[in-house]
Amino acid sequence: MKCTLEGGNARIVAKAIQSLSKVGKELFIEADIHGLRMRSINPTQSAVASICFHRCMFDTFQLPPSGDCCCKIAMKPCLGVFRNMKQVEHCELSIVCNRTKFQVNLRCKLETTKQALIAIVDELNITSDVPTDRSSNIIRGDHKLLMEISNSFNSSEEELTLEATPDSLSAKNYIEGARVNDKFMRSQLKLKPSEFDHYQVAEGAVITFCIKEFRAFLLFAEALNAQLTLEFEDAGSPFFVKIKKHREIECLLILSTLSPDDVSFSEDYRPREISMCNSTNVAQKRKSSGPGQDVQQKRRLAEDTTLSDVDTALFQFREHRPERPSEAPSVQPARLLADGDTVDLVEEEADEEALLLAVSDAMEASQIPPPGSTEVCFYNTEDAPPTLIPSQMEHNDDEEDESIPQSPEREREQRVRTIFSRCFQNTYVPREPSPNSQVYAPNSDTED
Amino acid sequence: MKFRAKMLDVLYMREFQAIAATLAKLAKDCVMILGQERMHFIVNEEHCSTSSPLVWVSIGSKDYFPEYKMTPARPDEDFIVLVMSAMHLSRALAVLRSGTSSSVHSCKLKLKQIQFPCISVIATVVSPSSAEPREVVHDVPVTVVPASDWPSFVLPKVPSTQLVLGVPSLRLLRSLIDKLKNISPSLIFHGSATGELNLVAESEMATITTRFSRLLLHKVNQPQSPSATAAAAALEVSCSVDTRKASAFFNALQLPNEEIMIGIDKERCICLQLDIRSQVVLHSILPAVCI
Repeated sequence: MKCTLEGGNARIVAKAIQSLSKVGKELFIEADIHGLRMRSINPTQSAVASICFHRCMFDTFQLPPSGDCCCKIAMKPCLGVFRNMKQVEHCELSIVCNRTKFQVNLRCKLETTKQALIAIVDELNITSDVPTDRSSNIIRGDHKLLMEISNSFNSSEEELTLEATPDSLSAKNYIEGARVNDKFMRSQLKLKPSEFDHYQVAEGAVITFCIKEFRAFLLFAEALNAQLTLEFEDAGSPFFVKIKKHREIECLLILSTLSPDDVSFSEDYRPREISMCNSTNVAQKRKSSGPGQDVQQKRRLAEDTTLSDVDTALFQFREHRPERPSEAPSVQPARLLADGDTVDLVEEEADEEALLLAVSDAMEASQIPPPGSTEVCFYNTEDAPPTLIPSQMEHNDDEEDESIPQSPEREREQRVRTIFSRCFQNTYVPREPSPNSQVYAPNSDTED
Repeated sequence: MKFRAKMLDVLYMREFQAIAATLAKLAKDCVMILGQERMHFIVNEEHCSTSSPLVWVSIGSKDYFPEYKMTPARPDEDFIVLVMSAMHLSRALAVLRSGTSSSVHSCKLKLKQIQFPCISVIATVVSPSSAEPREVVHDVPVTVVPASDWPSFVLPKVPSTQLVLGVPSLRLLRSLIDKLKNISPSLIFHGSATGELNLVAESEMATITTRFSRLLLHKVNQPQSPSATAAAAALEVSCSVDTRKASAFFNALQLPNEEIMIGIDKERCICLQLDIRSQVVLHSILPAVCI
């Protein structure tokens, strides 16, 4: 894939990436005959943002001979690349190095060029098969108006409730009838339908959704100076935010709304499904390889990634990568939002810490001092819908089957995911991350 | 127990918001005392870690509120005493500040009981993007203080001072004290009846004295007999206070006033007074520290 943009359009792409970065920590890029699509999913999988740039925004747009292409890259290096876009006059995006790197070439004023290579974490994509045009309630308004609504709530607010009736719309930070904390300040904003450009609400509906992603999209709408369209059905069914600009840019944010049975999202923030597998053979290999080799390997990876941090490069997924499609399917098999994402998303720091503690605990429990030989498996069983391997790349037969065929692997050597690489290094002290592991007296028994 | 008040003037609403913002900068919680004629706010952060001083504001209800109705819980009581988060109150009133982007028609304050007692701040706002007024409601949760606990929520009295000087450059004073904070932990206010105020900050290396001269003399005590008048003319008092406390007060001020009255009670306290309107006054007391 290779496409080039003129400076002004590149700035819009940069804005899009900035607002997507507020949704998720990974960026999914997909190119097809219609144009370039960028997607991001939030860690709780309650919001998917998708921004589509039409082909006419690009000066040149080349697809690989095989047709579509898609990749997943980490958001953090991306943000760094697309910062300070003022001087940029020309931008080129391409996938290079046998589809392992996403290359960004920026030509700035005074003949300065910036080149960045971002490691492609995975070749997968997320799709959703939620019908996006069947909502009965449609509200369209200027970004300024919606910005004012969002600004009248505290920035630390997590949820926003919209109560739409045919003759008024009220935005609240609480749910009517639900008991709130005694120290909680309730705020609400009542608006008349005439303030909106289009207001079509047949029956009253009350929806509650996460405000953070909504704000991220508002920011992009402000950059585009475009209108936003809010579409929703009822509590529990998805809420859509759409931005359209001259048919060139189409954005869609799908937010899950609170179902009437639940109490609140924020109380529902359960630990997400985390599975961490450490296959034995790799663990043994790691044990046999000295620390020097380990460091070397790391350094090589670090050199490979110009901009991304080492962490990103170390994110090697064990999942089998689906083979690339040989022909260009115009429509990808759609799946439900819930099983769309196969990715173990980068956890919040708190989660990471908790995991580290869990790792150390598990190690203590198993009484095996050398960390390299430990095989740790965490299964957080939860009755959430099962996470599936992506099937959208499936191509051999046209049937949209949910079963995943065993796909050929990459030529590269298989590496285990090493998110918590420190835990598996020889120098790792299992107890170290625990804050309450203060040693009051030196241990007399060296065995322990 | 009932309370409702309504503001209509944009200028007054903005001042009221500035008062709330000042309180929010000083302390987490504020006490609201509602009387028949006056409304009072007190902030007194008692924890030693925070260095904010005691500040109270008295608002004549007639000045700000064309409509003001207060019915105490029992007919023999004179007040309603409420405790609330100053931050919440300030946030709830923040909509009144946005003068240029949108205009506020009216702002109502109402004591309500929804699950818990709260003060509802109901603002009717007209944004420039549309002609329709919209309603912004914030329910600030409050704690109603029973009459038995009132003795601990009494409005402070302005201490008697020997000398009161009016300093016309509040902004200068603020930045000056902010800088002196880094030099000395205590700051000496030295005033004289000739209309001079010296601010002295001493460190091991240097003594910094800032002289404000030709200040307006608001009050000198005991001007009874001619001999006393002569003595009063030569009166000089000084008091040293915690610089951090003074700085916290001046930094918290969100009001546009430029003049502040500084009363000095010899080696006991500094009494600061900001006249926002004739019936709206902000006071603060900085206690003296021993050197």
